[in-house]
Amino acid sequence: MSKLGVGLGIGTIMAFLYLPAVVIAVYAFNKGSVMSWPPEPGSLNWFSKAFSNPALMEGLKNSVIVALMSVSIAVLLGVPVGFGLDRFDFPGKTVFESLLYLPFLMPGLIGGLAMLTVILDLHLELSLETIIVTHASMLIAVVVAQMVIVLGRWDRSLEQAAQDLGANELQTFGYVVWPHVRTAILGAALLGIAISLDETARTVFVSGEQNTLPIVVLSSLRRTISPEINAIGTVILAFSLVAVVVWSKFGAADLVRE
Amino acid sequence: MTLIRKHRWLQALLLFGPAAIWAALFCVFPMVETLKMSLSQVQNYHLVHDWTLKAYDTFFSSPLYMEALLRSAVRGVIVAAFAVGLSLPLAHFISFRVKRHQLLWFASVVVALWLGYLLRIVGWRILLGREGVLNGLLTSLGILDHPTTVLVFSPFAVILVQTHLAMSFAFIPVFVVMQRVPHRLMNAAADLGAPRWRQILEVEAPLIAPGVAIAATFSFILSFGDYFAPTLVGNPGSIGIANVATSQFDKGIAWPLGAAIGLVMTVAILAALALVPLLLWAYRRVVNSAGAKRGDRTSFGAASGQGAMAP
Repeated sequence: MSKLGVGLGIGTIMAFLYLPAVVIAVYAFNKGSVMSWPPEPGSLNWFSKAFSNPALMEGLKNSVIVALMSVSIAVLLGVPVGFGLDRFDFPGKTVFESLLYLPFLMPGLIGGLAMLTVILDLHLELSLETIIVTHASMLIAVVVAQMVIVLGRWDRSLEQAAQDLGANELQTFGYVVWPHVRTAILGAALLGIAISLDETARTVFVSGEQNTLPIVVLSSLRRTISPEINAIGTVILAFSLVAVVVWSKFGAADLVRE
Repeated sequence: MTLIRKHRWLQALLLFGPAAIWAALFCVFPMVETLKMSLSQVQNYHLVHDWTLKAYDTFFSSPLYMEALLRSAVRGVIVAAFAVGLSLPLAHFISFRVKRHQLLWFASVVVALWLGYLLRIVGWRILLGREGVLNGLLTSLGILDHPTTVLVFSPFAVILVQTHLAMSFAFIPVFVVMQRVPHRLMNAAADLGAPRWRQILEVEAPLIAPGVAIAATFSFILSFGDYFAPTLVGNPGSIGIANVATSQFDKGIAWPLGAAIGLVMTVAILAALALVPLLLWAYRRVVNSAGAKRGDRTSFGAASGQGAMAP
C-alpha cells in the first residue's frame, strides 16, 4: 500500500472519530440558533444562556453530587476488595470477581431495569439516592479492575523488606504500599467521575424529579437541539480534556518509574 | 489489632464483607426481583406474583418482538464488525508505522472517544440533520435539490452512531494486544521472506486474536443494549429489542413483560460473552492445523508463548 493511501485511510478514521466533537464545539459559538451550514462563529451568547438556564444548572449540580457520592462509595468498597483479591485465594474467586464486573459490562438497560423493579416492588421513592446507588454499583467494577491491575504488578517482597527493617504493618502500608497505589486510586476515581457524569442508560430508569445533566439533555433532545446544549457540552469536553491530560500525566509518571 | 492480625478469615471478612453485602443488596437482589417480576402478571391493574410464564409466552409468540430481537442481534454484529474493522488499521498504524510520539497518537484517539454518550448523538444529529452540515454541503454543491431527513432518521444513522460509540470499547483492547506483539517477530518473518500480508495474517493475527474477540464482544453488547440511538437518530423501522423493553416501563404497567425481555437479553449477552473463549479455541485449532499441514515449525502455541513472555 502506498504511503498516500495509508495516510488517507488513517485520516478518514481520525476524522470520523473527531467530527461530532468538532461540530459541537463550532456550533457552541454560533450566532444563530439554527445549526445550519455554514456556521457563523463569533458569539458567546449560548454559553451565558446555558449558564442562566435553571434546568441545566440544576442538572449539573445534581450530576456533580451524584458523581462525587457514587465515586466515594465505589472507592471505599472497591479498594479493600482489590487488596483482598490480591492477597487471598478461595474457591469461587473468579466467579466473585466476575460478579463484581458484571454491572459495568451489562448494558445500562439491564441494570436500570433491575433497580427499577426493586424500587417498584418495595414502593420506594425515586430520588438522587437511587441514582447514587445505581452509579456506585457500576463504578465498583472500575475501581476493583484498576486495583487488580496495579497490585498485580506490585512486588510483595518490598513489604517484607520494610518489615525486616522494623516497620510495623501500619508503617509498611503508609510508607510503602500506599504511595504505590494512590495514583491508581486517583486514576480510577477520575475515570469513575467521568463515567458517572456521562451515565444515561441506567439513570433514565432510576431518576425521579431530581435529574442529572444527561437526563435534562435527553429530554431536550427529543425536541430540537438548542445550541445551549453545545455550549454546556463544550465546557464538559474542555474539562474532560484536562482530566485526560492529568490522568495521562499520572500514568506516564507510573511508566517512568518502572 | 492483634485479633485481626491473628485470624486471616477476619481480614478477609473486613476486606470483602462491605462490598459483598453491597453486591448482594444492589446487584444480586435486583436480578432476583427482576426474575420474580417476569414470572408475575397484571390483573385489573394490579401486579400479581403467581409464578406464571405468561410474560415469556407473550414475548416469544409475538412476531413483532422476535423481529426486534433479530434486528438488534444483526445490528450488533454489523456494529462490531465496523468498530473492529476501524480499530484494527488505526491500532496497527500507531503500533507499527508511528515511530515517535506513539503515546501522543494513542492519547489523541482516546480524547476523541472521551466525548459523552448523548453529546455524540447531538454531534451526529447536527452533522446529518435536515439543516445540518452534510445537507448544507450537498445542497450548496448542487448534489441535492433540497435538504433531506433521510440521512439522520435512518437505520444507517443508527449504525453510524453506534459504531462511533463502540469505538471506545473496541479500540483500547485491540491497541493493548497490538502493543504486546514483539516487533522482532514481525521482522523475523520479513527476514525469512514473508510478504507483508503473511506477516500480518500469520504472525500478528494469532497474537492479537484475544483482544479482537473482546473488542467485538464489547461492541456487540453496546449496540445490542443501546436504546437511545434507535429513537434519537433512527426511524420507526430501526426499533430494537432494548426499545421494546424500555417501552414496557413507559406505558402503564407492563412491567412483567419488560422484566422478561430484560432477562432474555441478559441470557443473550452472557451467551455472547461465553462465545469468546469458544471462538478463540476454534480459531487456534484452525491456525494450528493450517500450520501443521504446511509443515511449519512454529505454530500458534509457540508464537503466543513468545508474546506472553515479551515485556
